[in-house]
This record gives sequence, structure tokens and C-alpha cells, in this order.
Amino acid sequence: MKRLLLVDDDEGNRVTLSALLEDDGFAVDLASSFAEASATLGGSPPQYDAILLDHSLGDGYGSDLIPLIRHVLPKTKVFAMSASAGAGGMRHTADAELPKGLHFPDFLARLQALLSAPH
Amino acid sequence: MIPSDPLRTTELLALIEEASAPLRHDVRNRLASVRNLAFFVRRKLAAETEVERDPRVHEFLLKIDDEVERSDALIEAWSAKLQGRREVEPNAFSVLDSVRLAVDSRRQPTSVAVAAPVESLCVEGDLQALAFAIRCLLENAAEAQSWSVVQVCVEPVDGQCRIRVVDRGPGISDAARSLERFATTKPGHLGLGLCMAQRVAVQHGGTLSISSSEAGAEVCLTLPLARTHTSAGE
Repeated sequence: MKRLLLVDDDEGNRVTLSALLEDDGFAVDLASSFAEASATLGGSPPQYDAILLDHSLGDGYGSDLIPLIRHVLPKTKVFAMSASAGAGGMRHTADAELPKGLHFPDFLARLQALLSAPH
Repeated sequence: MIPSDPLRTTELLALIEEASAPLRHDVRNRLASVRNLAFFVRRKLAAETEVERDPRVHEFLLKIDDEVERSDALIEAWSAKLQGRREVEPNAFSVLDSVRLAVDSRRQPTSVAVAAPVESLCVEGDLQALAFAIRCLLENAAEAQSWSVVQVCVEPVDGQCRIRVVDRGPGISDAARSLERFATTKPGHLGLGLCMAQRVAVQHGGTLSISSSEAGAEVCLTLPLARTHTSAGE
């Protein structure tokens, strides 16, 4: 079972996306803020296959978590999610972009393709 | 007061883009959520028996999808229109020309001193948009001080072009907050100037940074140099 960490301050997106992903066989942990994600990553995080990272988290920018992720979980892929295409201001680069607005079957297909691609 | 502002259209487009960006982002977030909720319900229903189910349930779920698609398309079209209005062929242009346009079109009678040790630095993008961003910084600097000269320095640093706008005002107490939209302590201001300048920097592949002390504030635009980073003919 693939394990994901979904970092998103939007409750609606967290709830619906995690429910859909769990129905498709993923284990999904959730973080609702920059602080909560930092705490999860700074503890003893499981070996996530991927971290889905929203850009604007209210208390910080998702991209600013990338150095910590690279340090703690170097094998974990990082996918940047955004509601707006080409969101600027990313200070650190994710492995790929995963637009939030995609119809779920397309989102899932893209996620699976990204997960099976070599790191 | 200058008779006609050459950066007026650029400013209007930047204002519309900056002011509507959070709304577009948040509405698209909501739409993504509605779309996923509808998909979840439809998938659950599909797994159940359809005995005595009102046939409109399926029909209405499809209508939710349709409404979401249409709303999303409206936002996309609006964003594309904004993009199309401000998009220009990315050309290499002289940073100093952009600084001069900003200085010449400033709307306060502030003294500005421009220092450019290397005059021929070029970046790639939109001369007017960069001039507008620099003017935002000049106007902020001018408002922070009443008597001294605003310094603008254009210099190459580590293969990039750095444009520094320096004032001798009281400094910026909270740099992070000053980059939040609509965060301003100045009456009659929108609190979008630095945000718009930062957006222009990002659109040019660069960054905006702020440093501040009791001696004043320095706002820096750091942009990648054009591949041929001197003006034609130099």
C-alpha cells in the first residue's frame, strides 16, 4: 500500500481528496498547516512514497518544507499541488506539479504515473 | 504631475491581477472540492443497488459536474484574458531604460539618484512591467522619507542583475507582512505595491527581497540576466 502525506490547509480538499485516495487503496496521513507538517516531518515520519504539498498554507509556503523533506525523507517524492496554474514564488522545486483542479480519475492517473516513474 | 502616465495600463492590469488572484485561487479550491465530493458520491452510488432510486440523483450529480466545469472555465478565461493583455514577446531590454522610465513617470517630486556601474545590463521580459515594479518601490521609498534622496542602484551580482531601491526612512518593521496583499498602514493606500512588484519579479524569473534597519529600508529585485546581457551596440 502506497503511503502519502497530504499537506493542505483547506479542510474541504483534505477531507475529499483523502477519502477518494483511501478508496483507491492509498494510506493517507494529513497535515493542515505548515507547523503541523513540520512537526510530522521533524518527528519520526513513516517512509512516505510521496508528499502532496499545497503551496499556500496560511502559516507558511509548502515549498519551504521541501528542504526538510529532502533531508529527512530523501527517497520521498514531492508533488506540488496548486489551484492556480503556474503559481509563482516557489523557492524550492518539487518533483512534479499536480493541479488540484483535475477531475479525480485524471488526478489519480497522474499521481500513479508519477509514483511509478524513477526518482 | 506628468500629463499622461505611460505606465497606466500596466498599473491597471497589475492591480486587477493582484487583487483578483486570491479570489481566483480560493474559488478554484472550492470548485475542486465540490467536484471531488460529487465524484465520491457518484462512485459510492454506483456500487449500491439502484432499487427505487430517484433517477434525478444521477442526473443532478452530472449537473454538479457540469456547473463546476463551467465555473472553472469562467475563471480560466478571465485569467487567460489578463495574461493575454499583459503578455508581450519576451525581449532582452536594458534595465537602465526601465529604471529611467520608472523615474521619469514617478508621481511624487522626490529626488532620485541612479547609480549603474555597468550601464549595459539587460534582462529578458517586459520593460514596462519592470518599470512599473521599480516605480512601486520608488513611490514606497519616497513615502517613507520626506527629505533625502532615494537611491537606485543597478548592478551585476553573481550572474544576475540586482536593482536596489534604498531609502532613509524609519525602515519596514515587518517585512513578511508588507508582502501580504492589502496589508498597509498608510491611509488611502491599497497595500498592493510590494505584492505587484514581487509578482513582476517572479514573472521575470527573479525575486524581491527586503532588508531594513533603523537607517532605512532596501528593497531588491534580483533578476536573471538576458542570455546576451548587454544592450545591442555596446
